[in-house]
Amino acid sequence: MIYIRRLRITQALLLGGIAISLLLASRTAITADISSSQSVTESMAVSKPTWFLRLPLDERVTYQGKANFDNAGNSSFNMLYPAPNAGGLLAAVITHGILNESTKKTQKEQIQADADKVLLGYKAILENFSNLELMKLALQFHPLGDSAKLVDSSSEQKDGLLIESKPVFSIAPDHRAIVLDNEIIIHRSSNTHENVYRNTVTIVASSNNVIDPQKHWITNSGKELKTESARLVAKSLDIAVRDSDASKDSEIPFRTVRYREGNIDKFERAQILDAQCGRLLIRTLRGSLMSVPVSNTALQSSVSDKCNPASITQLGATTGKP
Amino acid sequence: MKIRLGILLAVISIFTAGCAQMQTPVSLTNDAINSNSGRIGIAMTPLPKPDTYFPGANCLLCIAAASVANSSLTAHAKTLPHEDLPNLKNEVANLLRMKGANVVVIAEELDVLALPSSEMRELNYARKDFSSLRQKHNIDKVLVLQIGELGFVRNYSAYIPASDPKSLLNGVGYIIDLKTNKYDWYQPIMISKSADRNWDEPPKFPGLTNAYFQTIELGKDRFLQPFNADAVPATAAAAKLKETGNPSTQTAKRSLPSISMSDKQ
Repeated sequence: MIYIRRLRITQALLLGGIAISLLLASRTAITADISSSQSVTESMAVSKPTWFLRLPLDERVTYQGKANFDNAGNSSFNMLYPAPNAGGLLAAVITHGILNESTKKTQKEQIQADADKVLLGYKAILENFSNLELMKLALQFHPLGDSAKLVDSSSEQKDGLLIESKPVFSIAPDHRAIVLDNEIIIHRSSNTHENVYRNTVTIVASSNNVIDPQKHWITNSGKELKTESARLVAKSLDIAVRDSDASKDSEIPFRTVRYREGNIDKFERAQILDAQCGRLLIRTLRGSLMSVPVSNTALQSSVSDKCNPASITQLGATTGKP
Repeated sequence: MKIRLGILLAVISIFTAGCAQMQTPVSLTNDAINSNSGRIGIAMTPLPKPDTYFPGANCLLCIAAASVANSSLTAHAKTLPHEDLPNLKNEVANLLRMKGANVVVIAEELDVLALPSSEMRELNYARKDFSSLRQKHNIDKVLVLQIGELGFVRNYSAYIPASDPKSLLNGVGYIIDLKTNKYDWYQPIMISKSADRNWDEPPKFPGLTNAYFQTIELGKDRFLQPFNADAVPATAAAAKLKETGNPSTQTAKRSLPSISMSDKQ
């Protein structure tokens, strides 16, 4: 009797110990998950994700100044070659070519470096702005962000729809315009085949009319800058997915589109695919996509300011396209 | 000694006699284009076919090398349209009419080279004699829109390209008072744009083609800008004050050899 009682007590203690161990182990796992800022797989509160968004390779979000290469290159000038014979002339021409190419490359790097000086005031914010944070924010703005799962850059191909992106942001010298160039790859895979879509989507943000645009972006630890950047990424992903499903219309004529970038008018030779919300969606001569704010000209004043409700794309479905 | 000095002076005279004064910009004033200015005819010179230009490739072999190296770009340039450049004179006419000017658009292209030369060699006077247009079109002034170069330019240093190809529009706009053959307005315009990202994408060169159409739009804007309501000072004095204080009236930096529009008048 005493033996049986001792056995039952032992069993109860064992079971209790196991339960406590399991409880402690699960708490540790959750704590580690939360505290890790670069976890291998970021688990969203999604019971069954329908699509996956892969993190870019770079840890930090890439920003650069908007460089203008219109004055790049050397002026023309006459050249006298020291050439005693044909071989000497050839050697002189080759040497001239090599030196010239080096000069051109250095000049372009200098132009970009000068343009990058616009980022000086944003240094503290950009040093702490990771692609993980950007993508998490972007999914909040995406119409189907709730059904997405963020995966690490090294994760293997998942069945279904996987989107990769490489966003690069440019800030104009007057700080009023932010432009996103996002190289996007969409993988749609199934048991039978894989469909890959590649394109670059450029989004020109609508300019703000604040008195001090730089202050507007960096106030409150760069909240406006990060939020706007995330909105641009979300928009670019949405545009890319829609385009991957759409058939290419070669009947739309190319025309020179005037749009607004900050406080200046810019131009792009393109097909106009859509016009709403005071913006144009255009396809450039290279086939890439751009979303731009319309310029205030009589020709484009007919673009509606109204926004049609976005039709939700069915993500995760295999289209069967080659 | 005197003979040598005489020969020296003669040589100097021969060389300097051929030197022409470069025409400088003349600002537009409201006096030149208002309802009291008389009848203004608006004409355009023949638009050049889009082509490629290689300043700096000055020797015959250099020209041949540059032409061969850029043959695919040249072939593509020749396929590009003028877009709505031919309509530019109508757009200028509309702006002038809004300012109350009495305007007539001259339909036929104006061949400036065929006009007789003027005897005047002073600054602000046209080198060609435009007076025949007064009777021909019943006008008091002529506004000429002249585009001399259109297409792509690539600077060369002998055989070696000194820059990437860029789009080019090189022209000049001027108003001539047909009574005096004097410029009421003279504005050189040179626009050049580089390709976005990579330029070397044969056979269609999308980056450079995009730059070409950007250049056309910017060129049109530059021709039209003086005639916009806010831009024209009332008098010549106000025009001068505006010019000295406003850097945006300066023309684009030029890296081409001297192919001056005034030399062709």
